[in-house]
Amino acid sequence: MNLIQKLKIWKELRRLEARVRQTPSPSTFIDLGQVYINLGMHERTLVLADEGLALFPQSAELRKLRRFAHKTRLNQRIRELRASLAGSPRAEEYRELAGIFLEIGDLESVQQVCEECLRRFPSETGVLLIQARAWLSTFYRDLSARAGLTAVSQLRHLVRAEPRSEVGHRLLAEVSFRVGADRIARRHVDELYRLEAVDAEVETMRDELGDPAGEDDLESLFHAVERRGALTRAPLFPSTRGVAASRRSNDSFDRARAALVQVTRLEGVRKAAYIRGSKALVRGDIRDSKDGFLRISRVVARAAQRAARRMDIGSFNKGVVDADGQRICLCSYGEVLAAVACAPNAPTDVILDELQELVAGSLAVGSGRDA
Amino acid sequence: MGGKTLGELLVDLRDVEGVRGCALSTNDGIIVRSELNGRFRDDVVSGLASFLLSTTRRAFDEAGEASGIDRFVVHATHGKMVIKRVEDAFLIVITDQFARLDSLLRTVDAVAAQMCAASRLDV
Repeated sequence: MNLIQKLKIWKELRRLEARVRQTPSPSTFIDLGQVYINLGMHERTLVLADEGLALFPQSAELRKLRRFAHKTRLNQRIRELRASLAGSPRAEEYRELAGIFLEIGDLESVQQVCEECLRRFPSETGVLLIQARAWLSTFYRDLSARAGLTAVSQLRHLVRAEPRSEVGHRLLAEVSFRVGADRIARRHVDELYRLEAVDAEVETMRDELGDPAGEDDLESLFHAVERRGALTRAPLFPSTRGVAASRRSNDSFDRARAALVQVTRLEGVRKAAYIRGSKALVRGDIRDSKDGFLRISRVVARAAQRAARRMDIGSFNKGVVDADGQRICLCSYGEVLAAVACAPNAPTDVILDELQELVAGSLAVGSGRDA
Repeated sequence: MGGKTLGELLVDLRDVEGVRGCALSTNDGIIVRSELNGRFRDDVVSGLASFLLSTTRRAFDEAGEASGIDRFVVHATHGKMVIKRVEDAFLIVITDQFARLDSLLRTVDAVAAQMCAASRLDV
């Protein structure tokens, strides 16, 4: 870049900065943010996005700008940490790197980094916690028994090494509570009382658990959750994204509930399901509370997602399975999945369009686009 | 396409507009014949299709539902895949994302029916 180009950009930057101050609006913030991004000023972009969101908290574009700047900054930090670890590995750098991967949702990299760290620093319990959190994320997302049991095993390892680990006991209490391992959950809740790490959620858990008798077979409980495709109890600890996210999630469920009823009225539709993360709704001709349709939808969509990616045809978004005497239609974007079981001669295109509407509508509410 | 061998049927299918490649594989993922145009690896395609079918069958079984899968259509961002049962094997067809499924599915069903007949004579 020559001097004249630099001066031009500098002048444009000054103009946009003045515009943001004089006529603040989401678009003036975005225009300025774009210039910062082009100049590689990611820290400044992040500060600008925060300032914009303070004035316009409902702006989806500003949220997108913030996400982009944050992700870019994290990617830059990943490169720095990787370079540093290649030279002189330190446990705290492994911990930071694994934490970043956990934050951006790259669970496979979390496992790789944690395993590498534990090979070099076997007594490093910090990464054990991050690794357990990654397995827990996988469990709550896929309801996979293996992921849940691995997380529990790592958390137990952690609390053995650090008996005063409040986070370790809290995560163990929560996951045990949610799969119905009441006795184990109660033990960790009692430990949290002993450590004086009690808040409203721990109190609620203790009240709900009471004094359970007998022993829990964790393995069967996790496998039962996997088979059923649903957790025994809803979450008690609210998401760290706060009340707004929780409200958006409830809105998306309300909208999905209404849309599901519409879908079940289509010609030939027997039942319809909506799954978002670990929450699910089913409508239509349901046998009982253990109806297997939720599990079929979840498992088939996950397998199709995996096959499509590995076959290099992109991300799975719709599927139609013709089995003996019935047809299953699926539509999946991100963590949202909608599915229908219908007669083989039902109008598949119409059903897939409706499912796509349902999923897109719920994602729009979930991301706050309608706010 | 009457009276053709499996290989000829696959070549015809491969030449349909939008089709990137096709293959015939056994239920356990062993390739019988393939026309994948060098874009996909035989073993990867048959292995993944077999994984998808067996996982789906198992999910149906465990839910107490009938598990005979006749056809599985996957729509993805960069392409589509049709898996169609051909007796104890299955036909896999991979297309680009613009392929028209209504006419393609009719062609796939017709080819699968001819393969059932041809497989008794020429495997």
